[in-house]
Amino acid sequence: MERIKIDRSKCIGCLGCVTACIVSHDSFDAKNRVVIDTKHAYAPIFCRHCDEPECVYTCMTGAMSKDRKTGFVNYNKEHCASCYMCIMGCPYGVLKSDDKTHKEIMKCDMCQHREDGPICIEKCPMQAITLEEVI
Amino acid sequence: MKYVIIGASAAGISGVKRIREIDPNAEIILISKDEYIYSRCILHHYISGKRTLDQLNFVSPNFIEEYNINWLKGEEVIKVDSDQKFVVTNSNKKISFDKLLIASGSHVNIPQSLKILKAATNVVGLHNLDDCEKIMYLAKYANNIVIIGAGLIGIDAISGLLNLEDKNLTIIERCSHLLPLQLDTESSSTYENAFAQRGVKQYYNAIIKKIGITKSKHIIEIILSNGELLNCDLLIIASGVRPNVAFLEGSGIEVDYFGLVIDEYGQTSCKDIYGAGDVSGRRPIWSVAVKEGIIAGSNMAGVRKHMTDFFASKSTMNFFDIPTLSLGNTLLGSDEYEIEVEKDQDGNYKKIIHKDGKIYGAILQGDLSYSGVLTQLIALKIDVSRIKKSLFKINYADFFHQTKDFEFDYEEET
Amino acid sequence: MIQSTCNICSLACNMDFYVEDNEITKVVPSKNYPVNKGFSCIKGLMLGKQQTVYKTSPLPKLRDEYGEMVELSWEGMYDYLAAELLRIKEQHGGDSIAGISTGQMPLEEMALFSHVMRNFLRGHVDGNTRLCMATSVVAYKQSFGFDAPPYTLNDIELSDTIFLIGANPIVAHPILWDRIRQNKNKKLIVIDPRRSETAEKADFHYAIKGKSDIFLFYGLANLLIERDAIDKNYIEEHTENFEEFKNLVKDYTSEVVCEKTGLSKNDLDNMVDLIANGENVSFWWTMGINQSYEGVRAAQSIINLALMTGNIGRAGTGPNSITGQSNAMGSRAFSNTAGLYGGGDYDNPSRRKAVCDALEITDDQLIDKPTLPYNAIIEKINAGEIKALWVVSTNPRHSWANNETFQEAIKKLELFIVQDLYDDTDTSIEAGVFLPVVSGLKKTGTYINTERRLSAMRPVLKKEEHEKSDYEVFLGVGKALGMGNLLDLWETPKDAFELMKKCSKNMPCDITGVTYEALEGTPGIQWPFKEGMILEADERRLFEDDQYYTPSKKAKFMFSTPAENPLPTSKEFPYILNTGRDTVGQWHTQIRSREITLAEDSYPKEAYIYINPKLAKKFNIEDNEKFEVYSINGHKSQFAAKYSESVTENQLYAPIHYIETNTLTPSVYDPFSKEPSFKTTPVSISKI
Repeated sequence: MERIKIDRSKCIGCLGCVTACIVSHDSFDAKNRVVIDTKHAYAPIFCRHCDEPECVYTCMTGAMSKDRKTGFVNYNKEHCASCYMCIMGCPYGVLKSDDKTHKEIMKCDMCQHREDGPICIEKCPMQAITLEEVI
Repeated sequence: MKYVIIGASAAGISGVKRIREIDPNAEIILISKDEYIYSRCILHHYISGKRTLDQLNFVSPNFIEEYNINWLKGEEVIKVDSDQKFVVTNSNKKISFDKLLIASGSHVNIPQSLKILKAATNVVGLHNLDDCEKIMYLAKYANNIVIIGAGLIGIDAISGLLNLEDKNLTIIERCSHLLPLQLDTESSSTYENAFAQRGVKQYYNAIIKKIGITKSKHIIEIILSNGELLNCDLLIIASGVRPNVAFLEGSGIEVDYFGLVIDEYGQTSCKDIYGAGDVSGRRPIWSVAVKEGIIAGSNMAGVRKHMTDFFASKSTMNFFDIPTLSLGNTLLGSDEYEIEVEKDQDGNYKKIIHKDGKIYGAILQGDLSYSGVLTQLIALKIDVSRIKKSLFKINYADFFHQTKDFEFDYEEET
Repeated sequence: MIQSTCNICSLACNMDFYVEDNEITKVVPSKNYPVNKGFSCIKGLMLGKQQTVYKTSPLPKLRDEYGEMVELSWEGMYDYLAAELLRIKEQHGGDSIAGISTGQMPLEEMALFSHVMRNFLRGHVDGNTRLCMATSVVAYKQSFGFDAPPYTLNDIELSDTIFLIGANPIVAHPILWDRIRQNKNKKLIVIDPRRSETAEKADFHYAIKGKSDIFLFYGLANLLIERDAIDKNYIEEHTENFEEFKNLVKDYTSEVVCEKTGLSKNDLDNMVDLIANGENVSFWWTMGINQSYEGVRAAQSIINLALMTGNIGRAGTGPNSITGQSNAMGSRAFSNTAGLYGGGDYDNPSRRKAVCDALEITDDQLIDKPTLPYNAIIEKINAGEIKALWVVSTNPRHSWANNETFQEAIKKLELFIVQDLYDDTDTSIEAGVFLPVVSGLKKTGTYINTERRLSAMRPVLKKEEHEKSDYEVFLGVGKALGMGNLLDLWETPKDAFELMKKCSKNMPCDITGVTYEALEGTPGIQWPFKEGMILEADERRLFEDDQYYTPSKKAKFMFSTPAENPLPTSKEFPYILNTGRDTVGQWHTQIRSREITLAEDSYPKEAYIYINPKLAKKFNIEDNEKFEVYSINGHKSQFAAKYSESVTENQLYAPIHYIETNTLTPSVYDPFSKEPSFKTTPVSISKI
């Protein structure tokens, strides 16, 4: 499967990836974030599409599911009950509900609707995030 | 290889999935009392009419075909022969197995003190689809609905029933506030007020003294220890669950006070027989059932995998669109622990209980964004004293680490 | 859906706002808008958040005798203000009244504000644009005969050799950087004392010493002349003063330039090669050039390079100033501050007549002199000459150079009015009168961006009870002042726009062909656009006809012998403090950008400063440790150390987003533009 590799040392916190994510999904909220640590170093926090996804395990409606073919963890907002167990479950604090209705979980979908893949990678001016093939 | 799985809920289905993923050629037989695959945790949305039966399904609609499962639905296993390796169902089918997964779940527990209720016609739990149907049927004719227990299930039940018009809803709870295991008085009062606004009567620190029941076994009233009399024509019991282990009697499979005994690989006292989920009577929450199902399924299909200590003291709730998260031990007192609280004008409430750099419990109400990190800090007992920022602002940046496959973990610092 | 303009940075992207029940459901970067073409930075995308996170009561407030702010009705406030302003004018004259305005509001509002403040009250109005593009204004005006940035943004996609000078678009203008990336066949040269984010991504980075820019460009000019790599024909036909320029730059030999800039001979030769070999060479600068004690001449040293190599008036070329704020150009052309509405000097009789005719006023009703510049306003407040100050949508307590001087000034005022979206800015908390106004989400008006493009701001949301736009407040005060029929032609922003069109007639910035309707939901229109013209292209550059706006129609080589640095480093203050923007999610003094909740975890809450680890270690300062920086201006600030190799050992870089930074900058200005010298302050440091 493909995963987004993060090179923290290159990140400048410009939020180009966050902006790109919102634009790509015609949304008003982002499915990724960039935060600083105590030493003010940037950390892009992006969904890993984990091999053992806690968000899938905690999902009681089946809205979160791991696609066996692509390896991506997909989220079906129509099926979601907005119980927020996935937000609580994600060990890396990637998830939140949308800013307006609080019904939808902001969950990376790897821009599967785009032919060219995740737009965040395209828009990063520093190449701090890249798409890599992993087993 | 022939696998038999008992139970088609979180644990059973996860086990089935895992077995199929490892062994494409296995024969998999799924036996369940349930005739549908549905999520127990969202039954209240069925009662309220928010979701149809199909929308309770937590797997894809063609799951059974896709995973090539032989599903015996509406069948109850009544006996397990661990020596000869077969099970017997209530329709007297005898089904042999190479490996068996017991994920038979649990049932509503009616406390010993309320034994009288067992025979009553208008009392019901909230645990499966039949319960729902019964509640929905009885609620049509009931004006005074009483729920015993203000835990998660009791609150689910009442929020499911709020949509019905002209019903008197009453909740009776032994403890001092709503969701006593999860919330403190501050966060529970948010919901108590919301319920009160919608006309729900709530009795806390309340003990039932007497239940008035007719000769035809119909409950008509409840008298509390303070003498107050409540009319009641539908009583919903939400005071805990017990594992479904009765059918294991005489099978030689070890069952203790809590329920089915399993080891760290999900195996019972008998070789080739595994267990997962609520049937163990230990940690009756969805994510634990799923993970136990995966581990049992894995080991059954020959891929060794063991359980880590699943952190089960966690829950989220979302009633009246007010989300709340409860983690770890939220009842610890300020005499021994440091308690930090943050509130804002938008109704967001956050509380973190910590001591010597470790976080023991937390409640977040309102904004739950990115809070999964807290779960992990509590579960893994991670020392946060080196992080010089507000505990409410802690995020994964301070633990950031990528594995060689670019997953995250908490193993080392960068 | 309503298309409107992002009123933050000078690109002034357009955004599509989706609205239901007077609530914004979504903001999408406009696809048809040539500046941002369906993308934006986080600030634009989050514009819908304005006044939702930080809310201010819509009623005006007056400080009472106990120092408390009490609410008044708008009518009551207008009357109070009118009485006070008239009293002060009566007692001390019009020169005792001043305003400081902004590059963030529509030109119609700027125009009306100055009509009230300057034409009627006979006071002074300068803008925070003095802090960012005043230098370029003067430079262009002297060189071209008019303040006329010649480029269209598309030129950066068409250029084969791009020089970015004192500019860091990855952080300051992300959309411009996006467009540079679209240009696949270019060489990118960054000239910056700091290894900025953009420098990191350039083909060549030349880290010159702070403010050695003018030496570099004179040196390059000299080398180009020596190599005969100049466009003699262009120089001959379309420029003036070249021989004198040539004569001056011959002293700037490679030896001199290498010594001044810290570059090698090889570096200089390489730059000369790049300029000489480029087909379409473009030079883009921002604050690294403008904010200097010698900004105008430095900007002109760049303009000179473009002129002498014929890199102007063609696709992909130009000496191009990228400005800071969304309506910097609207303020330059239509604010009646440094020049008349539509351009021209106050002592130019024919321009005065044209403007009076357009506004239907008499000559004595039109102010007769340019405004005092920002620095002089503050100085005259401190000297007790200016008694009333009206600050509009800017935060000088934070952003003014040597900002403690502004704090002192506040105390001396008889009347201190602050008009802003928020009552809690560093400046508005000090106000005697606070006038709350709505954000651009509820306003109508016109913006002119860095490439001379007019675009429409249209109300996305309806105003609620008591809410006022800046325009309405100016009009309300004007009426209360008794301006009477002087306001008859100014009832709405659209009226004001029509007046400005008339004022622009036959000027370089002629916009007589632009209508409100033609700006709505469209790609916008660049000036000039005269009545009767047909808009054939959405990307238009100036000087394709080689006709400049000087009397001779020729461009002028402008230059001087470089000035002595008025504040060199010394034994006592051995390090150089550089300042600027630091993250995309932060804007200026953070007042507006603090509402971008998506960004708030991506930058520190407290001030920090970039320091080379070697320098830090000399003082035993750990990464992230708070330490003190002492400025030659007599003030000190505390910052957390941010270790970085992007600054050299004798240099520190402090983001302007924190008030601590401009506590340290000096009261030193360019002699022509009066723009503060923000970038090279001598400082010393010490561990706490």
